Amino acid sequence: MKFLDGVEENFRFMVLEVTKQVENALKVLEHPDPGLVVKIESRDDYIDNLKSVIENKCFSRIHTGFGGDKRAIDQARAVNIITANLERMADHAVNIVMQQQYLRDPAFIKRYDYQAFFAEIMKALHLVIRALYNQDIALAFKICRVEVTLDTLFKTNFDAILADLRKGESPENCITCHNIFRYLERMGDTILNIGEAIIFAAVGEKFKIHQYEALKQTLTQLGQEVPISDGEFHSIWGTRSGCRIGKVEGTGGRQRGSRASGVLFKEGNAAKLRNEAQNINRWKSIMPGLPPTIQAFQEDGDSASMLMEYLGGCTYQEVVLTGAPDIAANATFILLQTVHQLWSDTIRKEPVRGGYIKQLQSRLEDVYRMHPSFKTPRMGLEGLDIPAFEELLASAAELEQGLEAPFSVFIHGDFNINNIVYNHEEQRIHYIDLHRSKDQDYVQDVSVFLISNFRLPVLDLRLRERLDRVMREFLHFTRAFAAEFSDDTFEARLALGLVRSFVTSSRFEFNQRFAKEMYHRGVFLMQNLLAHSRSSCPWRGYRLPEAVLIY
Amino acid sequence: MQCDDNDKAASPATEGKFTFESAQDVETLVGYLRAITDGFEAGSMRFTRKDLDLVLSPKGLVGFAVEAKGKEGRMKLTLKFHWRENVEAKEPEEDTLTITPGDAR
Repeated sequence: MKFLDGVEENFRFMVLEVTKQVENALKVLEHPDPGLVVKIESRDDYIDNLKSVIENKCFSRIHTGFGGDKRAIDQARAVNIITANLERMADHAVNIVMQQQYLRDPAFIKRYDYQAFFAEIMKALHLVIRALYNQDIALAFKICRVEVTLDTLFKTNFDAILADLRKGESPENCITCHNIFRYLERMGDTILNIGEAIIFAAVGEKFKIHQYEALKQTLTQLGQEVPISDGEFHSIWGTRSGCRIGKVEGTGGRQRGSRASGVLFKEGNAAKLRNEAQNINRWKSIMPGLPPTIQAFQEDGDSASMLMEYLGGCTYQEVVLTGAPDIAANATFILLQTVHQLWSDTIRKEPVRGGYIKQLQSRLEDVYRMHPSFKTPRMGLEGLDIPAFEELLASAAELEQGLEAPFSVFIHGDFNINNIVYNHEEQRIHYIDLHRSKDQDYVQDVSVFLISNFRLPVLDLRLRERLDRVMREFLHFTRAFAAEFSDDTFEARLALGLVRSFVTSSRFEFNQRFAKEMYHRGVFLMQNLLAHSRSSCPWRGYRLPEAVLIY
Repeated sequence: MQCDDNDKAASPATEGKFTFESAQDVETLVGYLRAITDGFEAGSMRFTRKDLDLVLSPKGLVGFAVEAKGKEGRMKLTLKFHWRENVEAKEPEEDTLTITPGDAR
């Protein structure tokens, strides 16, 4: 990241200093200390200076324009935004210690949970450097989510303060506490800006220097000149799966038919990439041409890089949403044919367990972090019992014990509709992103496929109907497959798989309303399954209520 | 054509907005609630006014929210339902843009 030359050290100091200010503000609330207050005030000037230095450097870089390099300019802008927000956060720390002095009883604030705010804020601050320097979108999301948590904390504490005021507690103490919490809540706003700036810096960003080096090495091993210039080297996907992916355009003359329109470069954790390479080889042996071919693989300690064939065509998602109706229908037809053949060819008659509820439980913390209100308690409505969310989960987990798939197939493992490529010219389907492939219950792929349609943020009814149709056809197809292979518990396992997918998908959904829609469907399916289980009818008779897939 | 139009006018609409606000004693209120419950059971409920005849046909998955609130003797109970209808409407094929080669002249 060339733009950080000369700014990097300042920036690290900036984060460090602001972190210290926040830590010290907490100390003042815990043990009021006039000496520390003076120190905090004087450090604020230093932080302001630091901010000006970084700002000047960023602006001068933006103006000189990095020779028109848009990404570098974007990053300089991101650093500038982050710095400005850090400085604002430090101001809030000062405001808090100033307010603290107005507390008539310094211990009064201890009745509220200010520590929780500080813990969240510190958590976010500790991630900033790593997230920005690694261009890590997952971490950036974590940072963004802190704001949501802080808002919820604010509401809780605000209500408590209000209740105390009504009870006749000292207004001076109550209002001062409220002011302090308001500043803590505002720190959350600055954190959100920081997280968003990191995402901005990361999306579409070029590779880090060491990734560039790794790619260069890999290509050299292939005996090719490094074909990379600014125009040829695109970053086409971020770091969601922990690997960075980039595409290197074909340099002409080396193309083999219509498929080889370039190569795809992947760099990341060695074990993960090795696993993907093995999976690709297995897919190749099952159906040649289904996965991209690996052109080079190189390991370097814990990290590895891989060059793969870049598959032409568009993702199935693009076809469904933007293709002409007949082309979309054709793509679906070919997809179903392909899936049927793959499943039939790799079937192994040994029982396996998907463990869907366990998967859900392991991601529950992330779901709550994004949507704290999903952790509902047990409730009652005029004698009707409404179970707590986690009670439902526990019952569903117990129910799942009795459900195993009678056979396994080799599953894609992340059968999202944008991991399926449709090549119209060749009339065939390709699978990409294969690091999770394994012999498992096909319901894993079915549920992920269905939800990857459902959760698309498409509200236009006509487009929604396209998604409905894809889900309907896919469900119809998988039901026929289950019947063909006498899979009696398919519907129940699918319901469990959908519970998992509905609930865990909400952790990526910022739109609260849509997140709730998905969560409610997961809850509905659990209740539906439990009702069937209580009737002690065999699972053969259970049928997934298809309405859950209609939005 | 004339005949089609008449048919349309006779069948209830699925688009429009109906609002009704009132004060009721609890006995009358129960009558309203029962009418709604019956509507859910029958699969459709009609809302009419001089210029509107709206039919709702709840089926499939129905979103349902209850909010009960009390504050200084002012009480409020809100019930909300939402669902989607017409789930299998056809995509109009004529919407597709088709480009055909023209005459060489």
